[in-house]
Amino acid sequence: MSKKYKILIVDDSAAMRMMITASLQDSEFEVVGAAKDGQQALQLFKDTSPDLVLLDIIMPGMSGVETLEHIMAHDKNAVVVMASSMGTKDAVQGALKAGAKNFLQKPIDQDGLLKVLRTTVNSL
Amino acid sequence: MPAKFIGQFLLEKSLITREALLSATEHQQRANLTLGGLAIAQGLLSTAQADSINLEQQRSDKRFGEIALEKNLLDTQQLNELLRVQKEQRVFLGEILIQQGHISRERFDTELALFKQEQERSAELVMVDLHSLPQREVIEDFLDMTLKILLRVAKEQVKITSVSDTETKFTHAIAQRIKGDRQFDFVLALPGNLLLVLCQHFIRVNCTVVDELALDAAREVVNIISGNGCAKLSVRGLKVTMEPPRTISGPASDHAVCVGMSSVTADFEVRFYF
Repeated sequence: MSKKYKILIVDDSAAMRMMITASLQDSEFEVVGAAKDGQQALQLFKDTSPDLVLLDIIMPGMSGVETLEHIMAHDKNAVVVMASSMGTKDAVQGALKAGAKNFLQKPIDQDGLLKVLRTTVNSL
Repeated sequence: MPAKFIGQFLLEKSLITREALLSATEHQQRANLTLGGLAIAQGLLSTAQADSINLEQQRSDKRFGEIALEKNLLDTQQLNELLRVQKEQRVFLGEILIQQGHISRERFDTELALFKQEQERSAELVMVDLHSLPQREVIEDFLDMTLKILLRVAKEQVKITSVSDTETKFTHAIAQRIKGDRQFDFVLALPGNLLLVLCQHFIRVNCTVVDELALDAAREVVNIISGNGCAKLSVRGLKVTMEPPRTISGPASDHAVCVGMSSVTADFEVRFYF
């Protein structure tokens, strides 16, 4: 049986969490947690030790980049892909500088999602 | 004078009844096959393949044929043939209304000419209104993304109908604050039936009541419009960021630019508060 990658989804939108979870069904990515904010993401990250985190940037309270910094402080080898509808140069640069391995622009489609996640895990 | 669809134009002039319009539009929807439907009918795609293209189409800014080519599910020759057949077989609303005996051909032709004149005048007036606005680059970029994202996410063909500084009352309003070189609130104000259509297409779950999940899906649609709007502004050299979208009940500020829009499902409004 091929390797399953444990993935943690972080997005304040329940609709997005549902859509992403459905898109990853039957793939090599197993959703081990879905967090609605940065605090919950940190807890789930510690509890589930995912291979990969898909993290939204624009969230109420702790932003995605702040959450990323906390995750990296906890585990400097964490593999995080940032997701945002705002694909500006500054947003992409900011995410990569903070330690993200890749960036995914919304709207997200299943093929695009799997392609970015596979590229990310294959580059490790 | 606002832009509208030919059916609405005839209805407003009492030349056809509401029942006749509904019957004709339903007939038209059944008769006009989508590109995916045509490809399935001709054995070029399976239902599962067409569904996967439709799903991706809702999340991206691409056409059905474009995705089918990218996925190597159709080649250029097959796509061109499908487009030709689709165009050839397209059934127009007017033709259905005539065939169903709701209006005579002579009267319809006369009204169609009047309708086209009105549409041209209306489009010119809206463009004059838009160009005269001090923040027109922001408004044009966000309106462009609104039309594209709603078409992709909800399959809603949208027309801009008016520009004013007066709000129209709608049941629901989602706002998102943009900050940086340009500061404003972008608002999508819409009725419940359109919100449910958005939700249904976005998460592919049957939505019958406006609950928290439906509102959440609508907020995410606004988030996608705003994010892509901001990306367009950044191409203009503007640095902007945005806050998470939120549901609002009253005006976000006093200075509003209200852009009326119309789709087959409902009229709605996009607002900019500077």
